[in-house]
Amino acid sequence: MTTSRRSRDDVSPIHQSNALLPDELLEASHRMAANRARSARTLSRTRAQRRILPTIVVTSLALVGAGLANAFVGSSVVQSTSAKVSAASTATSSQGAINARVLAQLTAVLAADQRTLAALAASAAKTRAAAAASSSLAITTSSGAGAGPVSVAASPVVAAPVSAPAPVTHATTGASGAG
Amino acid sequence: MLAERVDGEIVASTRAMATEVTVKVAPVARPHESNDTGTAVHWALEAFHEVERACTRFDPSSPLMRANASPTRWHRVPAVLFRALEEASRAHQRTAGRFDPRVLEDLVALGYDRTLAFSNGDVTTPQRAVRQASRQRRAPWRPRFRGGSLEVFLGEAVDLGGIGKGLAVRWSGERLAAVTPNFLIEAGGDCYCAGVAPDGAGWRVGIEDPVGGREPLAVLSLSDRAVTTSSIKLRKWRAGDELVHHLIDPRTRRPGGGNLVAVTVVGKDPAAAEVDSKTLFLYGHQEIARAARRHGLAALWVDVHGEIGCSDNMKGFVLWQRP
Repeated sequence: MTTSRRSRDDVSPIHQSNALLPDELLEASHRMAANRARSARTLSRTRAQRRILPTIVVTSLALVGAGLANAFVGSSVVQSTSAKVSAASTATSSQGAINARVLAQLTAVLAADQRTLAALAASAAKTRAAAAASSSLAITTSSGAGAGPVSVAASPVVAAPVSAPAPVTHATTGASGAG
Repeated sequence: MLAERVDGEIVASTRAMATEVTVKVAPVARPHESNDTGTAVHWALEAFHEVERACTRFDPSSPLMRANASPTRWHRVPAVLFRALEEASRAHQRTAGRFDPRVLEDLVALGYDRTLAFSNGDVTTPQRAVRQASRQRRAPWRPRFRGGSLEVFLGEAVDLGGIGKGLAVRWSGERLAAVTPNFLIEAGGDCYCAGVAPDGAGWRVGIEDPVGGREPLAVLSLSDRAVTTSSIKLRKWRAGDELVHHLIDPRTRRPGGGNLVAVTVVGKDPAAAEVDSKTLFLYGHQEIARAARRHGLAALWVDVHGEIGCSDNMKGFVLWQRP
């Protein structure tokens, strides 16, 4: 079955037809439709089971795991933090001094980077100006010699297209057989 | 009917309506559906024989020719012929008379009153005298139908050659679509491509070069689309001293199309595509681009000089085109 959803206008009349089919073909069509409906029901049931069961299992495991972790953290982490509060408070002042030093170094590096960027921009501007001057010179020279309009942009050299062979076909439309 | 399986793909063919008809069904996903697909393929090919039996003009005992023998009387006809005549009448109205099944009289006047051996090369027929009255412009064709009893009143004798094969492809496709989404029907100039090919992409259909050569003019990629070509490559002959072909312009009642050799149209319905390719052909090489644009048709055409033209709506289907 095609799964794309097409507008009614886009569907070929062949697929919309309610034409009278031979009985044998009608039975085959109904039989196949019934088979497909049965398959679709089974598939949706399986899909539902496949969606729900893993979710239940994962959620249960997550809840149990979280409970165990909570019990462990409550019993061990609280004791160690209460024992080391004073040591942490003495380390705070020396850490502040280190941070101030690092900040000063970073500021200096940033300033150096900005100077480098400014120098690069100036250099690029000079290069552009030089290029513009040389191309305008070329145009003037060419026009002066009496040539026609000059294209500033140079045309890229394009290789002649190589003709690809015709793809292999499933059918041919053309003159029908003689009648 | 000949059927074989190639890598799970069912390929079956038969000869009907003076054409080799081939059906290809992509491999089915469920093995137990294989039998039903085989049944559908059988009935799909049978659709061509049913249309041929009911609608041929080359058998005087066919239901169409019995109705043609006395068109100003009511005739009870088989359902296939009844539906074909209804479709022909609708196509006549839709195209403002550019499609006209009453060209039968003009074809017969040019000697195309029987199966001619076009594939053997030169065919010559005696040109018959045409009544002066038949050269005059006709009023619109208005057949009448009684659906309950399958009775028709033709008014004038008709030829369903311009739509019959397209209808056969449509009805054949309906039978296959009842059991499988991916298939291809190929009947000479008329094809229908449903779903996808075995490689998962669209079905690739080559447009034959009417001038000759093995390389196609273009290759199209189609899914749920019909493609039809009207060409004068084969069906042309000498009527008396005059070189003629089978695509008659109802306005002039003479072979039409100017310098065009073939026109290919892609559409949703095989019968409508067949009618459109014929009516577009009659616009001729100077008018066809404008006509295709005005009618929003996906068309590709080639003239006697080998010049290829293509409408904007066709470009989306072209996978490859000859440089």
